[in-house]
Amino acid sequence: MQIKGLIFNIQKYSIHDGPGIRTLVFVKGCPLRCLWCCNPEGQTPQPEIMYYRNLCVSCGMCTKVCPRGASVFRDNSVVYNRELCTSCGACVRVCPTGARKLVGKYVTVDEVLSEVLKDMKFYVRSGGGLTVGGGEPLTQHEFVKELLRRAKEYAIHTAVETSLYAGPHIVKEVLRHTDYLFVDIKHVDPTKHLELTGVSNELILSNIRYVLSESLVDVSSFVIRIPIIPSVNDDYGSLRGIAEFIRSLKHEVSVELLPYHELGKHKYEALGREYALSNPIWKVFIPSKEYLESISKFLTSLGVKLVST
Amino acid sequence: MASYSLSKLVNEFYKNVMMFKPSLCHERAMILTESYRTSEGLPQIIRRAKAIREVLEGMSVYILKGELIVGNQASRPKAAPLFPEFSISFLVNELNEIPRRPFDSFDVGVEVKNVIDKISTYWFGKTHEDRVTYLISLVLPDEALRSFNINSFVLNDVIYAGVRKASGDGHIIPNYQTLLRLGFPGILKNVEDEISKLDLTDTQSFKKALFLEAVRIVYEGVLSFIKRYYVLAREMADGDVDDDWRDELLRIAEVCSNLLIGPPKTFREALQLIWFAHLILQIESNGHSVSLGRSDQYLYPYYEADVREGRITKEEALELIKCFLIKMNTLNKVRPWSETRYKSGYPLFMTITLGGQTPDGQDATNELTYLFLDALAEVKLPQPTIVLRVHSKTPEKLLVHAVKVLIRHGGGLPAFFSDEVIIPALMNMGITVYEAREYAIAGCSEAVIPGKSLSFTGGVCYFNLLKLLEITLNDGCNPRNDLCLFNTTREIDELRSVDELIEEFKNQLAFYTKFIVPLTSITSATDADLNPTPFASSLMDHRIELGLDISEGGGPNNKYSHTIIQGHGIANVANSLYVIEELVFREKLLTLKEFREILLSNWGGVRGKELRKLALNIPKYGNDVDDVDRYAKIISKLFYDEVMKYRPLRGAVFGLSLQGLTANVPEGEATGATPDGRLSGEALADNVSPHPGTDRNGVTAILKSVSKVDHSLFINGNILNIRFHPSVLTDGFGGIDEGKVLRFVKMLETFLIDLKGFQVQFNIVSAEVLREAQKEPLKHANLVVKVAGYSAYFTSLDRKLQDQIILRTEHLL
Repeated sequence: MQIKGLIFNIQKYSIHDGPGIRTLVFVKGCPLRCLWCCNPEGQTPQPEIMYYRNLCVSCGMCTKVCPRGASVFRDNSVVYNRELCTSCGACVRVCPTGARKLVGKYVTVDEVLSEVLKDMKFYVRSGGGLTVGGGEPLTQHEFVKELLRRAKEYAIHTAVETSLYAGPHIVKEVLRHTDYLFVDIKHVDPTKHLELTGVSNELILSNIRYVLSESLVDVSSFVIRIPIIPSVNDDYGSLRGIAEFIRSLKHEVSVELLPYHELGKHKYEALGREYALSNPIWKVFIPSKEYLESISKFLTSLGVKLVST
Repeated sequence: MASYSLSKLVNEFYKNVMMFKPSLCHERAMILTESYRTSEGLPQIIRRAKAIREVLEGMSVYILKGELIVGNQASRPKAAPLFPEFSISFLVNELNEIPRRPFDSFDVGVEVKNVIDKISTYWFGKTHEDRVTYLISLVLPDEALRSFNINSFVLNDVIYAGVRKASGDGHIIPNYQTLLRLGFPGILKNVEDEISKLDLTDTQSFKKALFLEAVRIVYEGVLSFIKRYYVLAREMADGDVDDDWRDELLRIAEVCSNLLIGPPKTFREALQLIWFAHLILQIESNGHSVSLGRSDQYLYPYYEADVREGRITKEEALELIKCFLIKMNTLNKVRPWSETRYKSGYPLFMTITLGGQTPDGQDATNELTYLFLDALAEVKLPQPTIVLRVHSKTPEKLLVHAVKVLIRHGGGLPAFFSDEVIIPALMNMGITVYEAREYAIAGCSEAVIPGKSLSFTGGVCYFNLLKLLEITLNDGCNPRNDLCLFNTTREIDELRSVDELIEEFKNQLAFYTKFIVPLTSITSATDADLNPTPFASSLMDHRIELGLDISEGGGPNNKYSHTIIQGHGIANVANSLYVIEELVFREKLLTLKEFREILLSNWGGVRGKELRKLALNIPKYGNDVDDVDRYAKIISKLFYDEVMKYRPLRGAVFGLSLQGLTANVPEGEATGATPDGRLSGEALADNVSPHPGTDRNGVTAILKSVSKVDHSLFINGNILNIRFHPSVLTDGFGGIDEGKVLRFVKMLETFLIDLKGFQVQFNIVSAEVLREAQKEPLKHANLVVKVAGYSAYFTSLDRKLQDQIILRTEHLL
């Protein structure tokens, strides 16, 4: 039997995730819980229901089909109890307004690959290919490794977007079939990193050194991304720390800034979760062009090679 | 070279033009009718020539402050002249409504009302429309005639033949290379030479003499017309004007006087000559889609020589081109309401083709290619349509430039066409590769050889293919009128597979296709009898030597000509067949007959709603799913095979197209609920685009699906509309993102070169902006969008069409 993976989207014409025109496969499940995560539906390692209350007309179709009583009528409106839900998707199939969406689907490598191969001509023209992101691809390393290996059989260019939060042997296995690598550095201070993402960064930073020292990918195909989350991780001290770490690497690595945005904010509500950065204590805001330029200037002055991919 | 800023004058001209609203002008109708009254009894082509001459000699001429290129179609910018010889009844019947139309309205002044009052009795019973209507009633069998809507010219909701009910032929690209080489005096001399060479022993000589005499008469008018601008410019220069403008007026006079005696010698004279020719074509007849051909090619020698000799700078040339483009927006046409619905937004379908290849297969890009694109980006107007030919040797730099223009223009221009599809398709018609490489786009998407392909509308028919499927599902009957023109061979409950259903569909298609022959022949013949176009004929190859008006067809031109037949709703038909395959034949959830009942109830009841939800969730055309897309391929091929069994009156062939203007709205109104989940009356998918909102798999998937149709069968073109959010090409702060532009270019190349798609066009505008424009139309009066093969002001469109454009899936990232 083929290995199955749990994915939550396949996006064609991806143009932010490596060279050329790419197909981006979103793997579901992530050990990190970054406060600003714009794909929260990619965090849990199982299928789940997104419920867009604004689209719901309380027609009650879901209450009739739910086998667990997770969707019930109360005071003429539908109440959804996530605790009882097994994400079987029965409500999604009958919902007439699209207020319910099932995220996460178990698929074989062949199934994903056949979708990826459909855009082969676009990859060839543009120098593009396949990118695996997520979620965290390394949480499903067997599946991801096999997908990448098979893609390489078709000479498809492969890229991975990862936190590198995994054991070095796993990193090494996956990178055997990876041409291009994106790794985030969200903070250099382990405590702060734990606070912002739920995990410490020691493993991540040591994996970055490991990938470079072992040349697991070519340094020209290695990009470090720094999410710029204003007032959260972008004070000059933090940025200086990141810059110093990057400069301590024995290679000149390309660095890209990922400016904070709130395009994923609405998803939290649909998942029945709080968007932590909504709390005013964080004082987060969407950075302006000038704001980003001043950060770029600062990092450049510290010897960081900034690029835009 | 001018010492002052031309751009200042051109800006002033732009503002002057923008002050005008569309209106009707009485002058042409008045002068033409007077002329016809005095020419009773003369041969028709002579009457027509005299009338056109008198219009050119008698209509108002004006020069607006700031225009560098002169010549007007009617008494004001954006005023539509009237063509009573084509139809008087719609003018009489709709005159009070025309200013009050919800879209495509025109101001109607008191002179217009007076003139129509005075001339209507003269024209009653004599027009193109009267003749065509009479002939149709003679030819169509009774039961077909019962289903024929005499107002809109629609046969049983399936075939729309109203395009040419009140309109001339249009749809040509003159041989502007020849015109530039000879000038009007040179062409006139050719005519006179042919007259002197007439062969007394040829039985057709008298006919040839008539035609040549008609051309000669029209050319008297043409030369007088130009002379009137010469005189006017001189007069104005003598008046109280500022010095810069006086200099320009004197140059205008000089340009006109040079064109009166010979061919153009400079870029400016060349542009002015092309404008006069294009303009007079719009005065001679009201056929739309008169196109400009490969302007960057035929104008280049003049530009290059002027630059080399220091007569012009690049900046000045740009201003002249801008002026030329603005002039296009001063032209207008009024159509009967029934036809307006099929093409809202005041389109004239005037197209300029850029780029492409030289006859020997090399890249044809030159400096003017870039200058025309820059001018387009600067003027940001809906007319003309500017298209770029793309082939495997098109420089990446040009495509990057064109995509940036697309962003700057914002209204869907330029559109992109594939040489890799179109050239082989033309060769398939028997045209040599050298000639095929000279093709240009006429109207929306029709590939023609400039100077050679004749006006091929000759009665254009549009097929509503989805309606035909509805009729097939109803055993051959139209549920809207209960007329059954052709019964299916089997009741639908006897059908055991989609293939068998397609077989019945094919029988219906075969039955209806036969009607295109009389419907197109009648219109074509009526053109030749009543409204020949000697001026247009003089600009086409071979016609002067043949002594034959283009409305007669025939001669060496036939090899290049094709009469347009369009098929609409291909996406909906494909989707419907696949839904039937899934629900009826695979899952066996219901019988075909039960399905029909649900559709007749417009998805009524609980079961109807549930089934509709299922139908909507089944994958659709536009998502790169072979199982669905194969039906688009099968049905489009069937359509081609059926139509190709017949030949049009003028010889040559029928030329197919799957583009559909704005017909998807009225055709949707005439079509009940369909298996794809569409509600009764809902608009069809436009052109070859996916049905709005059903393309959920990204832009590459759309391009893949569309490319599965064999586009080389559709010489009159297939149009694909895609709407992108501006963020697809810009950075987070609205600036152009070079990396994104380059990927966009690669996407275009893949579709046009590798996947062999015919055409693609983009609106780069968010739904948010479009919704705002609906709410506050005045604030967004200048918002241009690509509709079908043309662009238009968004707020000038049919509200239903606006909604449909908003519904087009917005591709984000």
